[in-house]
Amino acid sequence: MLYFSRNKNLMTCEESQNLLNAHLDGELSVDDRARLDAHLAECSDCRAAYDALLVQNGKLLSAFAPRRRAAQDVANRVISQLPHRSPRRIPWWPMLLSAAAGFAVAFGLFHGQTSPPVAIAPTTHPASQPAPIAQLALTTGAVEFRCPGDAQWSAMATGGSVASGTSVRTGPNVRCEFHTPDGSEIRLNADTQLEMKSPRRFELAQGQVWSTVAHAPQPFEAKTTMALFTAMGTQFDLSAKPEAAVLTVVEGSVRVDGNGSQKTVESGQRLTVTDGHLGEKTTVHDLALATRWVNEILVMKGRDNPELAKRIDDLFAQIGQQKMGFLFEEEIRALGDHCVIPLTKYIESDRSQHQPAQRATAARIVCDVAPQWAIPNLIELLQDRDGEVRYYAATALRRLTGQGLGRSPEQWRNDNLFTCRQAATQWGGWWKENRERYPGMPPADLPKPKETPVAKDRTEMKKG
Amino acid sequence: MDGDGDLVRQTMAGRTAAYEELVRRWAARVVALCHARVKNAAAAEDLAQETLLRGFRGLKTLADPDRFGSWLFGIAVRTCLDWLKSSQRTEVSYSALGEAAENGIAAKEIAPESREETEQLMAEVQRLPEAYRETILLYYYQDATYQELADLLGVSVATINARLTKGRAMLREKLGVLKPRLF
Repeated sequence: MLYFSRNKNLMTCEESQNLLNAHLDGELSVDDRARLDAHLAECSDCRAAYDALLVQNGKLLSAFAPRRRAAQDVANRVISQLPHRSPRRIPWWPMLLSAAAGFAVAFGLFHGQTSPPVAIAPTTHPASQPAPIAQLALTTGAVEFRCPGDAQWSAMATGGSVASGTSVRTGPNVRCEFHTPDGSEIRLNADTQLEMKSPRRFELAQGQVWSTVAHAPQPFEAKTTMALFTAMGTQFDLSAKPEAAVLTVVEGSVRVDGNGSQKTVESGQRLTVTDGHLGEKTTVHDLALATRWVNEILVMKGRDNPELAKRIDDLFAQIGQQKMGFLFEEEIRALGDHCVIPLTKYIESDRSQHQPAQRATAARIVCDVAPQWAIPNLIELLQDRDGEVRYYAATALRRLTGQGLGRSPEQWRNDNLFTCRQAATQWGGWWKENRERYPGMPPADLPKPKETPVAKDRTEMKKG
Repeated sequence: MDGDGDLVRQTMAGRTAAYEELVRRWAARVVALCHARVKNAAAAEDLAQETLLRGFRGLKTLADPDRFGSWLFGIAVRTCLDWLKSSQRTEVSYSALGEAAENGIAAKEIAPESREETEQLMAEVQRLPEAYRETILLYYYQDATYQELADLLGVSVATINARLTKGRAMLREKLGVLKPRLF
């Protein structure tokens, strides 16, 4: 924190100019900030200089966004090369085994490049069976599959597995997520159809997919009629229409091969393939908005899942940096109370400490959408060093509990931090006495594997 | 949250996941430092990767676990120096780096008008004098307070403020001339 104050009241333009950068970076003391704001309100020259700084800062932040993602990729690459890596994902096999092979049988399309998938009877030794290549982890509606050579599509339950050569499709308004044994995730948007070739290869016939690719020596490939997309340890969004395929790389890089030419698309870039011809790479400034369709899947994974948190962070980083900042705020609000934990974490994180305006925006959104399960999070925010954040937390607590414990939101904003921290302990005591009256955080909406459709589907399988 | 020192000790006790956390914590800063040294984003990423892996292998040589960050920075500086010294990789050969040249990095032969704004901005950041370049890169690669940067670079908070102020002003001056509509 920088302390520049020489004069308690007046500020000259010279002094103001010296403080603008520290103001932008959230490094001014409360007093200096108030005095500078007062000066900026009066002085159009200084305000213009500050606006120029804001614009420049926005451009620098966008220019560095791909670099930041690239640095994350560096971290991922290093981690993948460390010895004795601990598994990063939820164990996949126990989930499958615990379902007693029942549904694996129903949709039991097992590994084998040449032989067609067959239904296999339940067994007490599932580990001896060949491995399925992908499992339906969650879905918002009906997903269908079709074995090679079949004309008929059959319904697929959550937890069902598919083998090589199986096609899967989603109807209108249905989105789903498949997991592969190597830890990769493949999400299908509505009206999408693809064929699973192997855990690291699929062919997209139509629609849109999002892939989060686990690091592995073997490349991960997605094919459309127009081009081949090869990724290693990366996140990308691919949509295929009759006339064109569009690749958007969110993290890492993807190589595109089409009609004898080849291009590498980096994170934050998009490339359109038309009739096998690779177009120019363009920069995507609003990745989180451009790939918003996956949000519906993410919110099913609960209120404290890291990917949703990252997405909200990305959306959030755009507020104030882009002219259309309000769009990003609307997008965050559309996620409802799912944004409470990520935004609270953002406010409490080191990385937000020099972004006072952003922190206040986050607090304002939390204040508006926080439900009763977030009361303890709000009580934490009452101890924030920024009065704006405390103000919004107190406002939300009043809305949710009908209580102020003798203090107005304005007092939370204006009193010094020491006083506020003492007063916050009162709230802590209140919470201990009253917590039983309020609900806890709801669990994730992840569906449990269902075994009931097994018999029906097994019949269908035999017919097929 | 565990401090760096705790994570170093856990790593040395055999818990590799603790080093994963250190990697996540430090990767962006190490890339930024390498970027400042070699003025080339793609090379910086490779050098940072090498630095972080060397850090893991050489952890037993770290005398004070709480000083992990500065120790790692030392490795990064040496890794970058080695890279810069190697005969093929002088500044004039950047155009041979393909992707780097495509990113507009140090590709001085390309006319400014034809470069995208972002690439132009990044190129100008790379042309800043070292102290300003380093501070701006560290600041924008990973959010940090002035105090954190001051500790990292061994200078005062006021120096960080001065470097960011001057660095941004230099960028505005450069880019303002090339592209008046920018600001």
